[in-house]
Amino acid sequence: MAFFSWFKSKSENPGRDEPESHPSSKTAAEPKTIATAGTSPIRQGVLRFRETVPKSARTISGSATFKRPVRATIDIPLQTLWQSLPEGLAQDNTSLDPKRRIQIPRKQVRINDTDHTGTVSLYVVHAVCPDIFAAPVPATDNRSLKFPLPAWERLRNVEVLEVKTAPDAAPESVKPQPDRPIVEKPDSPAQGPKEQTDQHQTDECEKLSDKPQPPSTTNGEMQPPEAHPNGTGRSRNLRIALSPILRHLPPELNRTALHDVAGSNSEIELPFDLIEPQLPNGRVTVPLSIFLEALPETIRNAFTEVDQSTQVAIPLKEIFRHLPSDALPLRADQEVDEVGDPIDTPFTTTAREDAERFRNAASTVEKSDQESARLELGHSAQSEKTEAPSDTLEPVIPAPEPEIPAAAAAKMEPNFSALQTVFLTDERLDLPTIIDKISALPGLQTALLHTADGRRLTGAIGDEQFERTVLTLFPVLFGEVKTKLDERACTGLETLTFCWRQEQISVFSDGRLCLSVRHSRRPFKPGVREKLSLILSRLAEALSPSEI
Amino acid sequence: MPIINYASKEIQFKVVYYGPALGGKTTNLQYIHSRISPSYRGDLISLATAADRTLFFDFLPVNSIVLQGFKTKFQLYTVPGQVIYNTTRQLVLRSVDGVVFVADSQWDKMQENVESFRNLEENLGRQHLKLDELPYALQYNKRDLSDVAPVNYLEFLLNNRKRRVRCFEAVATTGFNVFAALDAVTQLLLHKFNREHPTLKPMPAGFQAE
Repeated sequence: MAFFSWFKSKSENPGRDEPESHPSSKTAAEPKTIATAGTSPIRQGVLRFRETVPKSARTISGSATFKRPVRATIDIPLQTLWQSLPEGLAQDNTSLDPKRRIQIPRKQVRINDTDHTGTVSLYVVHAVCPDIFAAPVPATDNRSLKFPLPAWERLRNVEVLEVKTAPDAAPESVKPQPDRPIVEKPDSPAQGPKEQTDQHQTDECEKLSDKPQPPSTTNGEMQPPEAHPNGTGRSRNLRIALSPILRHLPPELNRTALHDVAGSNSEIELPFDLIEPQLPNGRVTVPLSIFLEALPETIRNAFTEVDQSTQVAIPLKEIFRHLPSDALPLRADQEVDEVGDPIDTPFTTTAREDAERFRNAASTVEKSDQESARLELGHSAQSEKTEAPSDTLEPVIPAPEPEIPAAAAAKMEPNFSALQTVFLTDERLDLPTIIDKISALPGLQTALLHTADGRRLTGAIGDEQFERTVLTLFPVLFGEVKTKLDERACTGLETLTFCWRQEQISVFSDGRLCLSVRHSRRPFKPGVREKLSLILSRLAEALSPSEI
Repeated sequence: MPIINYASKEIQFKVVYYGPALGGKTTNLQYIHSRISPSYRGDLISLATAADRTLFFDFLPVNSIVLQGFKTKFQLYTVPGQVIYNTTRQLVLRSVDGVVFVADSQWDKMQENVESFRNLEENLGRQHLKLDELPYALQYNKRDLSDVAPVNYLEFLLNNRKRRVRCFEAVATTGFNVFAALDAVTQLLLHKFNREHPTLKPMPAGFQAE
């Protein structure tokens, strides 16, 4: 009972419960999480659980339990770089934010473990952070910049060295982590220090992934993509449409004029080496400086005053349009998770029934598509015949008269059981009950179910004038907007919301059936729109065409 | 570890639906609830906020028929997907026997999928459980939407481990492959249980779907 009372108090007080991962919520949420031991059994469980975490796991140097991800970039304080610049090259910038960090692709940095320094080409630093330079650095400049590694990178190296000396390390059985996307390129320039760096990084990945778990289990870790054998050089670029990138720019960078200048067909080239390591993370960004280099001159000037450390997100969808087929390699040593003899679980029968049902549904859809295509053909043949009569006899496929079976013609009670699960109820549902339940959803006031041709089925909007408008105008507007959007490949319009000073009404439509809801105050609360969309689709399935 | 109650002759398995926020975990449970006969299942307990986001967890107990003296019960849970509820997720994951990872197939959810998957592994690690030793399956949900990533990318993101688990393209709103994923995990955990407890054989029988 104590569990349920705590449970109830939790539901009445939906506060955040993870202060560790969100420092901003620490002060507010901490008292809830660190409850006294007498609060409830579960709370006690939490405390006990926390106490069982090995102390070493809480410290950085002995992070045997928690895995530290190795990022594709190295964070370096801007001030460190600025101070390391050769004399005369550094801009006299007094307003430099000492806390600002610059991200440099890890591959571009040669790390020296002995003196804890990193070396990077001046050109790369200039590309990433031009605002600390007094003059631009040309690509032909061969000079390098040596800088002290920040503490967090040194720590990483110390860990690696420690593991290297550990007698029980089993490097051959270890695979890198998915978020350790360092890929060795076989065709990269074979420089001594560079080789050492790559080796160091690979070792680092292996060792870090090895540390948290015993060697027997580390085989399960994900692998970074393998280097492509078919000549993926460092200079390989990926062409990506520009307009989707501009659409996804952060608000402070997003300017409508850019879209006009860029045009809809413009493409830019981005280095694949920068993109590929990020693919396992589910998000790809490039530093603004690199993005700017790829931009046409006409647009580049628009970004001159923007913070150069900004990361520009590249839509994955666009990347995948041009991604080489071998860019997503699965591990070669994968073992498929096979079960032995199948056991009939409580869910097996239902799974089979569902599979059968969906197979049938798919074949029915296929058949009806074929049928409609055949009918269309028949109609077009008929119309052609009407328009251009000829003496020759043409085969005419007569449109079949709709045959309504006697049983189906009889008035059947619609089955709304599929909606029971949406409303989490076992009670028998009918249209008025459904409308009542919709109106009771968070942030909604009233609901009206109607047809696209303006026939009211059930419910009310609550204002006669609005209701007339909703019935007569909204379905038409929805249809027109949807058609226009579909023409522009923006398919899947769910709803339109119309706002007046005090009123907001949203309309959902599936073409025949419409659901209009009046908001109580503000637009949809999270999850409500999706729920209404689901309700409408279930209603459309349950109501026969004759009823709609 | 399943809970074996020798006094009441019951074995309880805990299956957790894990995944990013708004990925369809609750919808999975709602569909399962709607398809199982009330005589074999309890009520679906759903603690959601006013805006219908899972606050604590959803819970659906599923009973099975007694065979060989032991009644097998399955407790299906979901976790709140939002990042801030990590402690809740850790609590729900305690003593988990199997996981259905519900990934959102939409392009803009890929990062959340990856983060949630890593979070699952991390939270299991805190309980000294290893993902590679746990029965789990991947469910790529929302395949009916237009803006979804190809399965090979989802596989690359989530199923690129040494152990390649079963994956299912699913549409939780219609129920497509919802039971298939659950069945796959249930089979895995029953096989594992049989290996670990050769003397006990939980043999759940099927029940009538609604």
